[in-house]
Amino acid sequence: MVNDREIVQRILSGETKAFREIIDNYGRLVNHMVYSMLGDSPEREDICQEVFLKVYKNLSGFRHEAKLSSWIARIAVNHCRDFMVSRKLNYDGEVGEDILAGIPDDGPDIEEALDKSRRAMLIRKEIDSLPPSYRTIITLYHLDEFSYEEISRTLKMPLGTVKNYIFRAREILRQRLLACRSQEELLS
Amino acid sequence: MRHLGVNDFQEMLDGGRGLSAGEAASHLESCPRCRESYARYRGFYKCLGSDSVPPLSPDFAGRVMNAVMQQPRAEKELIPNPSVLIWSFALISCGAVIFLVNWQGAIKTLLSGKVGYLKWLDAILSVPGQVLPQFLNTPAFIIGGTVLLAVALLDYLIRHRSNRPSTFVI
Repeated sequence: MVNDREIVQRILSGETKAFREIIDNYGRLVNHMVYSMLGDSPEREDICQEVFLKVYKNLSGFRHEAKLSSWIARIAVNHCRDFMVSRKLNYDGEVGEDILAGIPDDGPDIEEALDKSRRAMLIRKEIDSLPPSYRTIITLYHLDEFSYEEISRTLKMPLGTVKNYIFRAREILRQRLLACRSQEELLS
Repeated sequence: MRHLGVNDFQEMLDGGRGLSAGEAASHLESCPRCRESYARYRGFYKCLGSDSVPPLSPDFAGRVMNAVMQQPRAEKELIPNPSVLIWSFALISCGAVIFLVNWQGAIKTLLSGKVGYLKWLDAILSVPGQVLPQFLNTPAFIIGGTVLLAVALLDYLIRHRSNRPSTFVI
């Protein structure tokens, strides 16, 4: 696989078509970021396109100090935040403490309880119901395999906050999925 | 040792340092209850990695490339922002001219000592003093230019630390 540095150098030396490789490599990441922050908005693809245009325009400013994926994710986050501000949407939602109160340490097996497609659908639904900041962090960690440190740098959040958000978001999701399973059992 | 909890499982699966891996592993070996709980939690953890985000349309990359092709070519940027530098130097130059106006007596003396007194210099040096208002004096221009230079430098440092595009354009 051609490395990112080489692709960036080719683009900056005039081979604009090499940008296609960046879109192919990071389209999924940008899609995840935009989806996690804006949900399944009709403007999602337009915003992804704007993110890539920003990436292209600012490519000469990329110093290879961070991974290209982190840099692109940062641009996506900033662009989505600007979009949300322009639409007066709230980004920094908090999850109430009460939701975590009284959570037992163990519970039934979610993986066994729900079949695969239903599980994926439910998890998506529950992730979508989290505040955008939690959604973004969970998506970056579990789908895009960013480390705590990379998420911290990308979102400009302290490492401890990132870890706290991930732990809390997982626990909320686990509880909600268990509640779904209990409802199904009651209904059947 | 106490039974392991959700936070311990999260630490273990994330490769964290909250509980030493050896300590946790040995506890799991000896405790069927925690082993069962851990297996369940690991199942849930794996579920979080299932990608159910609707994908982008197949022609997305083509559309972006069309838009990219219409952009000016990406090139190495001039650092720092050239427009800020130009304005900084313009302001400092203005300050320097006014300085000359204010100190023309001393300059004349100096010039007359070296190359003789030039009559046209008197006329040229008096123009800015008559045209510019009182508050636009040398310190104002020098300070203005210096502030702009500092902003240009800060802008450059921030951009390079965050990899964000510049928003400071005059």
